[in-house]
Amino acid sequence: MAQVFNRRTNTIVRLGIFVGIPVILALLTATWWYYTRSDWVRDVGVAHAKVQPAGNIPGAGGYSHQLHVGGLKMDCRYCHTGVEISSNANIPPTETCMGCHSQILPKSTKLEYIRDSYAKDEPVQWNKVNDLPKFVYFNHSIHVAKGVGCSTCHGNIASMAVVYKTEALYMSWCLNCHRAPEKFLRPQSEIFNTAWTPPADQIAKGLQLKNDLNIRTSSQLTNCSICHR
Amino acid sequence: MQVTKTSLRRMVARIMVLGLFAIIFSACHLEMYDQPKNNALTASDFFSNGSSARPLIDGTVSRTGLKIDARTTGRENGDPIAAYVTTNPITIDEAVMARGQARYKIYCASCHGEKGNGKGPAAGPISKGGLGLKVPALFYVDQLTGKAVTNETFTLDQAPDGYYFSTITHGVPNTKYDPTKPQTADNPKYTMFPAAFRIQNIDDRWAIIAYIREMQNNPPAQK
Repeated sequence: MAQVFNRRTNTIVRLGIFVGIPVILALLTATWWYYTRSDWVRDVGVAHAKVQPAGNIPGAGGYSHQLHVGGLKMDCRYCHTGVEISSNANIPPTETCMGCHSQILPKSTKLEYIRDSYAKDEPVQWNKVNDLPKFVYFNHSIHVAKGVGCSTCHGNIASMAVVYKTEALYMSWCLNCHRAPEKFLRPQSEIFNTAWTPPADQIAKGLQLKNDLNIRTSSQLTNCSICHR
Repeated sequence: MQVTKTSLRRMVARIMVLGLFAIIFSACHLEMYDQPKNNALTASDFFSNGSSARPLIDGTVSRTGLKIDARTTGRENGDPIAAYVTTNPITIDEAVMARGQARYKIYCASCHGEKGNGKGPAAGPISKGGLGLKVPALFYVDQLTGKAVTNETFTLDQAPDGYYFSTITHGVPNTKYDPTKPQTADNPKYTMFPAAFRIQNIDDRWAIIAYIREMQNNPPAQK
């Protein structure tokens, strides 16, 4: 009976074992990492220009945080009124815009959509930049009250003409802080400072804040039902 | 072990079927990411204005505003045609004053200035670095020009506390507003928009008023 495999098969099998299998494993790992861990799949750093309100209306400008927060030094809470009292930080109603823009730039075509919305009593459709899964019950007020500042998750909003994500908001990323909050806590006076940077002795200060603010232990903070209900 | 072509083919087929099963049964569970429920501010095509939340019915009062009295209306006994209250109905201590200062800086300072001098970043003519907003009222006699700002009935530093409360809550209606025409830049409904929907906590409004009074009594140093 003739040989089933000829001599060349040895080379093919060796190639398969030492090159093929590692390549397949690497590809699988890369695919898994891309879809479950990478920033790219969640559009981190992608400016959401085209989804800003009126971004698709010719001649209209989108809202610029850089101008309002960076330039005019407006406080986050001027518009995001719910951030200290509610799970939802709140998107401002058109009346908040009109409070100034009925008199500032009242005829600008870039603001046509704001005036339209006010005249027709239809809300402006702002677009969500960070969209958490519906099974995550994130609460803004408790984070703000316990020393987590805006920029820890949202980045330096005051420098963004068009808002983009600075974090992919993976669960592992949430747990980084829930396991060791002292790395990220800041004093109450700095919560709304978008340019805050941790001091050199952050861990010592963070531990002090953790104690002062009665923050729970990491085993309590990593309990499933803290975020999932 | 002898491997025949048939058994090799069978093995490959089995592995492929197993792989197929693995793909089918390891679903991505995206249906739980996007559940058919409305969170705050979700859009909805069910209602004509595209919003899932329903507007408040006219005459709705908040739970903190149920009691109609001086604290919730700024007028004596809560009577809508009575005089403005002249004293702050909440107890003022250091904490309230600090709260008032913080809230003032958030909601008022952009136009009225951090020092209450009407020189916030939004105020003043464009040529002087402002945004063209007509200079908002000064809260006290301007230390620099010596002029007191008046409105129709009283100078603002003489205005009763209730007047400030009414202004924060209901805004300053434009006296020349023509309701038959649409609200445009030439026909604004308010010269100062109501802030009640932003400064929702009634005690916060009184704390701001306490802080304004403090600035009037002890004007902060100008520059």
